[in-house]
Formats: sequence, structure tokens, C-alpha cells
Amino acid sequence: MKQLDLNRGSGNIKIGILLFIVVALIFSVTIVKLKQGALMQGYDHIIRQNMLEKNDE
Amino acid sequence: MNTLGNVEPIVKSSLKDLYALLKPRVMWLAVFTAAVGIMIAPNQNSFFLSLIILLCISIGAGAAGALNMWWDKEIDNLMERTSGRPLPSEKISSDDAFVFGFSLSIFSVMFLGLVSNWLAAFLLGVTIFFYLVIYSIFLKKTTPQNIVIGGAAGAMPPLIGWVATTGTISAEPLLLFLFIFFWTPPHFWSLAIITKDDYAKANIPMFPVLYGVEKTRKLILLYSVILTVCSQIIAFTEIGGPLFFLLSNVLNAVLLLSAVRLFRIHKNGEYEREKRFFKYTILYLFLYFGFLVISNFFKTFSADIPLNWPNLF
Repeated sequence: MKQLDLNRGSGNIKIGILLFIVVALIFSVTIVKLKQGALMQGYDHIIRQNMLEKNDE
Repeated sequence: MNTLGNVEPIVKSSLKDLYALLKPRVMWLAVFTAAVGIMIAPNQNSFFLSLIILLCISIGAGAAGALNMWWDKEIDNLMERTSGRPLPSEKISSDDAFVFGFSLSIFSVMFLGLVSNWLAAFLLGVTIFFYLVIYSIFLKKTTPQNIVIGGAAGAMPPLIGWVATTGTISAEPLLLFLFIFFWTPPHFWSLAIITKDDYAKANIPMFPVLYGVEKTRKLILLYSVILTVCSQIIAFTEIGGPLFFLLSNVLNAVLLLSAVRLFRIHKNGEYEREKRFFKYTILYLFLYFGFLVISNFFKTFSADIPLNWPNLF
């Protein structure tokens, strides 16, 4: 039983590291894209002029 | 009653096995050609985003490899060359391989779409689908043209890299696609001649198994000629240039010469020539794409050396 727990423990750590990498990737891409001027807002209720201009570029 | 009686033994797969499941050699070739597609495309992204794009394409290529191995488990078991792969040697269970390949496919396509654009993501998705369904499931066991048509999947990475960078499809990346497409048959068939008994054992209708070695050598020569023609067209586009024209034709000369020499032998021995030809095709592709990068790299730095074709029209 102890061995099973140990195996499971090391698996959890691997999955944890993997998930952390995925989060870090998405976060860093977000930062880079925002720095390049990507819009943080989406169309929610009304269409805004500044977004249309951005899309036209 | 023993409730644990029917539980299957848990297969503990190591990271090394998972890596082997990605078909590393094919994957690295895809990474390399995709990287070239990204590097020589106009409208460069930031280095970081280019790197992420390359990562997505690599993961997609690896995922396609894993799904292919999942489907090919039985055949791989029959063939000496592939019997050591993680599935036939039972280091990874079939279900694990499928889940691994499938989730990586979804991840790579979605992430590529978010990082670059959805046209590139669509192309990556189509490539994975084509490799698994069209090539592995339908073509491989039914037609001797399997690797010719299936080669389209392997030819996609530079196109995907280009589209992810620029957002549009243009003539140059399509020519790079055709180039790898015509490169695949000589490359793969020279290997298939060497391992044809293995393929026969697994009941795969590879060209040399069905039509013999001599006819295959003839086709290797034919495709080498088409490849050389394709190479000339590339040399005269925006991504080519005089320097590239010279360098690439050194490669082409060696390719044609080796293909002719292969065609001229009429005995079947240890297939030494085929082994050498197979190795040369890998070097050929590597150097060809390397020369593309070099030629385009210098273009951005020096205007003195004539690296672009003069405007004649």
C-alpha cells in the first residue's frame, strides 16, 4: 500500500509540474500579446468603435 | 470474493517511453522544416511568439506520431524495425497512447489558433487528421502509393509555420510543401527496399514488395528528377536567389547522380547503395532548408552581395 501511495505521489508531482508549465505558457503569451497591443476587451453588449478600427488594421 | 481479481496490471510508463511515442525522429524533422518556414516568412513575429508557434507545431507533429503508433500497434509488432516501439513492447498501454495523442492534438491545435491565427490551426488539425485517418487507417495497408499520398502530411510543417507567421497562404510555402512532398518517395522507398521483407511479413503493400526493387529504383530516379525541377522553381521565387540557386544545385547534382547510380545496379545484395542513398536524402533535406535560411538571413543584412534576383520585368 505504501508503494502505491508513493507511485501516486510522484505522478501527482509530474502532473502538477505539467499544469504549471501550461499555465505559465498561456500567461506569458497573454502578456506578450497585450504588450503588442492586442485588445483586452471583447464584444460584450455593444459594439465599440475602437474595436472595429483595431480589427480593420 | 477478491475484488482486485480482474484489475489489469497498471502499466507504469516513464517519460522516456512517452517521448518515444512522439516518433521523435519524424517530429524533429517537422520541427526543423517548420522552423525554416517561420524564419523565412515575411512579417516576422516576436522571437517569443515564433518559439511558441514552433512549440505548437512540434506538439502537433508528436501527437500525430503517437496516434499513428496507437493505430499501428499490431503491424509494428510484426516488423523488426518497429517492434521496439513503446506499444508493441508493452511499455505503454493502448488506451494511454490514444489519450496522450488525442489530448496533445487538441491542445496543440487550440493553442496554435490562440497564439497565431485559426487558418494555421486549421491546417495543423487537417494534417493530424490526414496522417491518422487518411494515411495510417486507409492508405497504408491498401495501396502501394501509400507513402506518396501520405507524404502530404509530412510536407505540411513549413506551410503551417509560414501561415502561422503571416496569416496567409502564398506561393512560396506551397512550393516548400511540394518540395517535401516529392522528396518523400525517394527517401522512403530507398528505406522500403532495404526493409521490404519486413513489410511483406506485416502485409503492407509497399511499392518494392509489390513491384520489385528494379521498378522502385526507376521511380526513385523519376521523383528525384521532379524534386530537382521543383527546387529550380523555388530558387527563382522571393525566398530563393542566386546564392541559393548555386548551393541547392550542388545538392541536386549529387542527388541525381546517386539516383542514376542506384538505377544502374541490377543486382540485389546488401542494398549498400540504398542505405547510402537513404542517408543522403536526409542530409539533402537538412542542407536544402539550411541553405534557405542562410540565403534569407544574409539578405536582411547585406545589400552589397547580390542575394536577390535582379528585376527583369
